Amino acid sequence: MRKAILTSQVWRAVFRRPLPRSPREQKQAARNNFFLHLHPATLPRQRLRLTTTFCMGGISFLLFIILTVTGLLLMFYYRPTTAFAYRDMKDLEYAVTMGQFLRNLHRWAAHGMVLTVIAHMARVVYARAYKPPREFNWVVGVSLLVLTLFLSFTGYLLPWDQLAYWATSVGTNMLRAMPVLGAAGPASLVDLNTDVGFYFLGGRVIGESSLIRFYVLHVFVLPVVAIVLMMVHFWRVRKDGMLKTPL
Amino acid sequence: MLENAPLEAAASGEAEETEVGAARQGPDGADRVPSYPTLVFLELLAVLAVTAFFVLLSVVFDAPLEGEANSAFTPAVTKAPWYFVGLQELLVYFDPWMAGVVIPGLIVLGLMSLPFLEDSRRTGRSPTPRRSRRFGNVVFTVGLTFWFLLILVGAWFRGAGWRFVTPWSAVAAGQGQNGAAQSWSFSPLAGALVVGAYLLLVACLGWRFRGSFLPRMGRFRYVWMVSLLALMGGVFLKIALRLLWDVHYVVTTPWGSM
Ligand code: HEM
Repeated sequence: MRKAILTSQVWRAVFRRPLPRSPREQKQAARNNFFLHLHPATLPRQRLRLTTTFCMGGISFLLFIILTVTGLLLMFYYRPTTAFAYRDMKDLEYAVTMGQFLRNLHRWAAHGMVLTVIAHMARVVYARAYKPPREFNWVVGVSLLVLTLFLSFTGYLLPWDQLAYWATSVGTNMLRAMPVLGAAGPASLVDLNTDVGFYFLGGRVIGESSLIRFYVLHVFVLPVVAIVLMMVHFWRVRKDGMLKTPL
Repeated sequence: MLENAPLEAAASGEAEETEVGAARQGPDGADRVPSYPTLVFLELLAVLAVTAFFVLLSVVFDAPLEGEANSAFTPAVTKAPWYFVGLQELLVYFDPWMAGVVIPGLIVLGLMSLPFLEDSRRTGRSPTPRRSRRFGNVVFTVGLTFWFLLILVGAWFRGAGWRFVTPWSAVAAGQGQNGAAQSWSFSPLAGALVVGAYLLLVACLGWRFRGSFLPRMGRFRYVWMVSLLALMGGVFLKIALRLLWDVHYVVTTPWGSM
């Protein structure tokens, strides 16, 4: 039976080769498998040490994946309107199987990701891993940090509770204070109906249109940009000669 | 993470130059391991451990959810999520356009320009001199520590109306740091003098210490770096002025004050 499956055309169409045993086959495995090809075929043993990266970049990526999965599941239950948003939170808590757990996981993974991304940045600094030829990847990284923060910020409004509402208003008031482009900022050239805050909130105050804007940013625009930047980031890690050695 | 002494020591070795080639050839074929299964297996362990940690966290602690949003009811204190509390804490010392836009914007720009401040393509990829490496570490560590200090104060030492409280006594201690009433501002002349003196000091320091940086970086980058450091120092000074003498604004203009 096992043999029949392993030698069937379907199985072999998916997995071209049997499990690698020899060193040569192992190298090929890393090269030929889509999910493994992020890795080099071989790497210096020294780089396996925990202190090389403290796993912080990888854990950031893992948390991003966890956030994507839990976020997608939350989307099944959440409606981004002022009439439903808060009610759907309550439903998650009381009516949806494992709903509260889902929300918790999404929330704590988000906090965790901010922390690991900052730690990742710190290790890159102390390892001098931003030096040429990695300058560009550093800049991509800083953009990812900003994106991570924006993702958290836009997600914070979605539960539509007091915490969300007022914390977001602290943030958008700062936006309003932007020089030149904010209505309350120095040297302002705009009024409350034309400033950055208005475009961001879709109105003068946080309301229905702000919620949908934050939602679209949070579940589509920012994640897509983040995914593209991560692909560039990982690609450049490989192209820039893998991790900086020695550390 | 912050334990950088061993990194420093290791990074100062000669092997620095070979880093790019090393990935392909390896210093020694025998010391290389295949990604699959060695690395992949370790990654799997890490994935399982981290996932288990967050699953456990989510079983034990519930994400907060307060009453439904109500624009008519302002809570006594509103705190941003912890990673923004640092900015919020800066609001005590700066107007929103500085605390929320200019300072974070310059921090991001400053971070982005970091690799370009240490190396110049013109001088090739020479290893950074030990001294400026230590300098970079100090600046980054001070900045990061300060950032988390602001977060700490904002998260645990601020109560209703953003007044200073201690976490062990819920009652507000001291008077409002926010109260513009008892704080005072410099007169325009005094403000101009103070800022002028500060900029002069920055320029003098920049001139004094140009030796180890200017040849390597060129004029433009050096000025940019000094400006960033001046901004950092300025933020520290303004906070000190506020805490020690209740100074509200150093400069007051019709367009914006700081
Ligand atoms: C969403 C956020 C991010 C993810 C998922 C991510 C992921 C990764 C991963 C998996 C690596 C491989 C080595 C390691 O784990 O350290 C890496 C390397 C690197 N990252 Fe990130 N990163 C992120 C954000 C950042 C940030 C914020 C910075 C800097 C400000 C940065 C700069 C770098 C640099 C320069 C390298 C190359 C390090 C070397 O060659 O030793 N990344 N990143």
